[in-house]
Amino acid sequence: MPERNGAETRRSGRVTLRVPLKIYERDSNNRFLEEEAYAVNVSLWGGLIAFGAAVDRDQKLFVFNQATGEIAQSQVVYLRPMRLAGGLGLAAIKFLEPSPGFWGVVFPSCSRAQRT
Amino acid sequence: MKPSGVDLTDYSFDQFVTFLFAREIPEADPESEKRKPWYWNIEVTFIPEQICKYYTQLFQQPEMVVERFSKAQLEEGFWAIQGPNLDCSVHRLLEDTDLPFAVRAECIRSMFELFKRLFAFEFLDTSVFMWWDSLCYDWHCGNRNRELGGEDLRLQDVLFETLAKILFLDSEPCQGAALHGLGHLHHPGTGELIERYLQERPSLTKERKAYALAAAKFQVM
Repeated sequence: MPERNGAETRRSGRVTLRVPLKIYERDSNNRFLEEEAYAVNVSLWGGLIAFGAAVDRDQKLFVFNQATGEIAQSQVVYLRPMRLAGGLGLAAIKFLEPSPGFWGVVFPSCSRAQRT
Repeated sequence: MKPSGVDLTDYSFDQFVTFLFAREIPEADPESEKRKPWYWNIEVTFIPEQICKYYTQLFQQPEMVVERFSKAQLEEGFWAIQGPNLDCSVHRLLEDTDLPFAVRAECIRSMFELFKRLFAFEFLDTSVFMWWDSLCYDWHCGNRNRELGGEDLRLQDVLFETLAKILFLDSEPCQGAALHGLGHLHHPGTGELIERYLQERPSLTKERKAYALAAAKFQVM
């Protein structure tokens, strides 16, 4: 396991962890927009991301992990209807290709882990 | 990278608070090196009971940190406290069965004051909403199971009692955080509690009502 990221993941398939990210999304002119974001929980298959921009369900995003330097393409699979008190929205993303090293965390299997 | 080491054994309460929150938060810079929270790579020597009592003290009088630290420092510090990375985090201490149960239970109960006196007024980005996710998810994914009895049951009861009180605070962020935790804790009293919450708040928005109902069915993310 690299360093101590999520060192105590124990037997859970999903870890509550704040990871600094950059999100790259295409705007209407097909340019990439960059935004600061954070993952708030992470799994082998994706994660729950907090960020300010409005995104759509099924939208594809490039996600850059500022802690590991890894980048992955992902897709929005869930949007929380309510924003958080500080104004951020929450979106669940799934990786479009297996990205086991993206978070820098080892995920043991979990009996009832839910895929985000 | 070799973790840096810190010995908290002789730290006073005030020094411990400084250790948690007085951290330089780097600005976002696309050219900068990898950016990692300070608590990911630190090895801590500490006395668990002393640190757990410090947390209880902090949670009972949390207003002091607002004056001393920026919002970004508070956000990062409260993530360090709730998460699994830091050796002396609350997350880790609550799992420490060598620590007397009463000390851990008091720490959990003191979190009501943290929500009432700080989180209800200080709108942090994600640390408040994720607080109970960090502490309750073990019951959701099956790491802990009430039917096994022992601490799985006793800790769950203390968490539930505390969440039930926070749910009725007059604060949307606190209610949202409590619903999030209840949605992962799988306590048998959840349905009845949330039903009472909904009955007492007929003017909730459609989205918040839907979230509460999802929490009652343990179907929150």
